[in-house]
Amino acid sequence: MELFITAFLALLNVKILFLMALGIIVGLIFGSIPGLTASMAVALILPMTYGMETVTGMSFLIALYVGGISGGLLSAILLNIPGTPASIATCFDGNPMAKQGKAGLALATGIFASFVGGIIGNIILIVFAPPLANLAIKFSPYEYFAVGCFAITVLATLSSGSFIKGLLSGCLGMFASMFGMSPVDGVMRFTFDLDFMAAGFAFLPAMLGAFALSDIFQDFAAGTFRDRTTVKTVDMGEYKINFADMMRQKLNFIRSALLGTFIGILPGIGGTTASIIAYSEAKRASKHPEKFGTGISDGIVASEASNNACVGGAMVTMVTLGIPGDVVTAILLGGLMIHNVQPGPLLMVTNPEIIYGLFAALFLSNILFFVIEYSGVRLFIKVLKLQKYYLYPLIITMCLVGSYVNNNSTFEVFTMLLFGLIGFLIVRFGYSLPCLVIGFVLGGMIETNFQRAMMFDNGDLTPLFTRPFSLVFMVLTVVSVFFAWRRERKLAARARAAEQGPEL
Amino acid sequence: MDRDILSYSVFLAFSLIFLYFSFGIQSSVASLASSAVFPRLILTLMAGLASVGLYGAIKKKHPNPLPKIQAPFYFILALVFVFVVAFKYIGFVPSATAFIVIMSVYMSQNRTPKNIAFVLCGAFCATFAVQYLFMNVLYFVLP
Repeated sequence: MELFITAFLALLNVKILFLMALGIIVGLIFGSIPGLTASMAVALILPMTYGMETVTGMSFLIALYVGGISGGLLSAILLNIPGTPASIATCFDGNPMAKQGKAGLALATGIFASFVGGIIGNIILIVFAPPLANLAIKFSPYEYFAVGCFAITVLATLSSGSFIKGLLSGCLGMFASMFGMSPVDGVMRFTFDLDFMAAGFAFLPAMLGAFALSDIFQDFAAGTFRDRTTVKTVDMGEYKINFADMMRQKLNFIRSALLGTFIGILPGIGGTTASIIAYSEAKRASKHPEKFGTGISDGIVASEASNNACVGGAMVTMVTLGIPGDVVTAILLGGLMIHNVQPGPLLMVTNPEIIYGLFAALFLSNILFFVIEYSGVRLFIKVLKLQKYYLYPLIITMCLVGSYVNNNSTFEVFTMLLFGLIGFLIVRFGYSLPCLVIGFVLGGMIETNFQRAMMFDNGDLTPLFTRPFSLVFMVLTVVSVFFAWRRERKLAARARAAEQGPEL
Repeated sequence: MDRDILSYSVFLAFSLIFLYFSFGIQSSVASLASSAVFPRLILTLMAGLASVGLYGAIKKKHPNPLPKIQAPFYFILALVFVFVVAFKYIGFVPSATAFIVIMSVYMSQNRTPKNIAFVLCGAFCATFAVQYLFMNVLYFVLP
């Protein structure tokens, strides 16, 4: 606790507070405009943190992350379009409330629920991360390899429509991380004798391409950039938090936040799944489930508390194991590496000020976002009138400049364009972009640990199945593959039955 | 062409092409710790998954035997596979065997997607299983 308080106090200086407030505002803008996401915001701003100290830069990015996730509720409630995918369940009750002239109440409820969810997720992060890191310190390369395999398979199982497509995307991401010099013995791989390929594909241009450029390609290909769905006039009604209603829903808050945190811990499963599951659980537990979808605050509380709690959950595995909980934490992980900080359990021992700095930054971001969004909601509603294509030239410029300054090399620009194209095609053909990105981030870690493990025991794979932790994760990997296979078979059988029609 | 068939074919071709390149990696470390092993493992997994996905996509698109127009396409794909990959790496006998199997399936009337996909997957598995067993596992285990 002492470390946390010290880190928290260290953040209370004008420069960091200003940057975090700026991060929250930019995040809220990106989050509230449909089609622009928190991951895009974090990827675009990442190059700007180069010159900052690690904690300052990471605090800025975390503020963007929190702002980006929290901004989604504005367009979800007012336009019935989730600003970020994580706010999808907020539409179900938020928009009906807005249509009933209770937009102010819906927005205030959503903002408060996001705040409470975020704080609960943060507390769980602070409580559980240190013991988990202490456990993870005992991990050998076998355990890391097994955890990496488990992360990729779980991600492929849960985050994509098709398990095969999810796993293929993850494998493609891992393969993309293998270009250039190998991590253990420095052998050149797939460089085709080109000098600039020696370092492989850099993380930052790849993220800029995959998250920012591919979204723009996607928008143009689908023709949705012409969409002119904007807010005209908003009947806010009464804009204040109804504390009596919030007290009535304390169980809903706790359940949704816990669900969000737990789902956030699972690799690659972000706020979207969390908000939908929390919403359906709130509906199931409610005494009046028939009112869900007609405009009640319970639905907004469930969705918003869970998607903000997800942020804390996603950071648990990021700081303890170096495994990102979702795509934004994958970019944050890359941000740490860019600042020459190797994420993992040892970081808690070697650089506790960085880890506790991240915890404190998340805590402070939640407070700042609540103050800024609650007090400036009318201003942020005006942002919804902004057409996103006005921002596209700026985003493309930031992508080009951001990728070039990474190494002062045009190859990085081409890397960004290549990943933009890959990201576009991956989504276009129904594959999973989060799997690709997390595969890319984890590829190096999985391979390095595999090679180290093989070196320890001269190519013997047996310890992978005899060491208790690695055995558990390998079994979990097999189990997740089995359940994914069974689910696909069931879905295929159901689709066949639907095609054949009812038997006479 | 069906989107799934196209994308799985691209994945299959991509993984096989890079698998081809992966045999050119010169690693100083022997055994499974070599820097060439993990990329091959991933590419093999990708090729396997793409094959399974391709089989499923073809089966979904053509639940009955393939139309005659489409069969030569898969036949040519199989032939290219055999000559480019198998012949180069595992020698004449296995590739000639695979060629005969593919020809017999093509010549027979039973050109079901299952058979054709089976031959593709079988040829793939045989090629790389032999390659793996001899080069990466048995070579180090037998002595």
